[in-house]
Amino acid sequence: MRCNEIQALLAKRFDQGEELAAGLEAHLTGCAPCRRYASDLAALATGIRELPRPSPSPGLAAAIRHSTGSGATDTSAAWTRPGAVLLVALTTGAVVVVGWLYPVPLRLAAVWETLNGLLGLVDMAQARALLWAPLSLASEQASRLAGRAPDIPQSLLWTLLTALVAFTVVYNGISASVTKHGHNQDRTGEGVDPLSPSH
Amino acid sequence: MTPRSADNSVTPDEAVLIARARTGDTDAFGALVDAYTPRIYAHVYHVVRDRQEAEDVTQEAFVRALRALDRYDPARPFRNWLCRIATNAGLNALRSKRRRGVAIPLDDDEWTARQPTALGPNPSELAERGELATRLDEAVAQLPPRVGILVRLHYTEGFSIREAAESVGLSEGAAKTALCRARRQLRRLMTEGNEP
Repeated sequence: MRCNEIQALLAKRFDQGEELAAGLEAHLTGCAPCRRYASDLAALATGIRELPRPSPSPGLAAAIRHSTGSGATDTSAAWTRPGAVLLVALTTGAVVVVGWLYPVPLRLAAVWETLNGLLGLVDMAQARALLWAPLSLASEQASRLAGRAPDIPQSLLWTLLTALVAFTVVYNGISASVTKHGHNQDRTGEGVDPLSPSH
Repeated sequence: MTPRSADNSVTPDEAVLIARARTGDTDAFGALVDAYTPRIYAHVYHVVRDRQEAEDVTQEAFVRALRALDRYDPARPFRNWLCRIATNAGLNALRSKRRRGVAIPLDDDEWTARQPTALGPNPSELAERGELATRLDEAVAQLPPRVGILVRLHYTEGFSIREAAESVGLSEGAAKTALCRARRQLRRLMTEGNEP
């Protein structure tokens, strides 16, 4: 074979990963230009194989997850959604109202009495003063409020709490559905074929 | 040159994730995002050559992929499909830049419009100094974007010529021609000033 044929074979091997043809090694042994050509290609191959690969910033995958609504890892973002804030506010409000009405303050007072009794047994007056003063104050306040609680049937309160839990479940279901399909409203527009080379 | 070996097939776990993602399972798609973000980012970076823009384009590529997931053919490698989407998103970003007046060659007929810098005195010497890859990186960056992607996908990532061609939207024949020209240009850059 001539040198240009040898070099074409070497190039083909480089481009397409084909094995060296029989007799090519023998030619390379006796031909300095072809040997140099092969050496250049080998250096090129090594260099290309070791081309640097840049790494993304650590938060990129999480940002993409968030933007595609796929298992948001940014929990703070999820909890600052207006709907979530509203839900937390409603739940907190319900707990406060129920606690004010019945029967949490009375139970709190009972718990306080029990703890106070236990501490009295081990004679920890100093600790009691430091640790339980806030609770004592809260308990007194709770007892005072409990005295003002209107007479509302407990069944009604449980009904309200059940309704709140049901609302929470339904709301989360709707949120998940919106998240799953909401990515269609992104900045890249709708109805575009991502596999087409230009748009 | 034998391309770096790469398993482009879809693993059973990945196939399950893709199937779940296609039914709307957002957690499954999230797992695919986690698995492919580094590769797609690196791929896109070599198209746009800007870190911030590469992150934006990577994000856009995943959004597009999610939207087009029902059109993905499970018989074909998911990575190639994703690379194709990312390539298009990257090339679109370059076109946008070009429309804003930034001089960026996009087409393969613009090879001669560039005046690439020679890589250096001697390839083996550069290799010994650990500079060959860096110099080559610069040289590949000077190729037309689509060809640069082809070079990286085929020689660095181990895609077959057919897969690499598919990923950049070229025919296999056109990709072979482009790779041949790229190889000649890179070799010329490596040996420039080094000829007797």
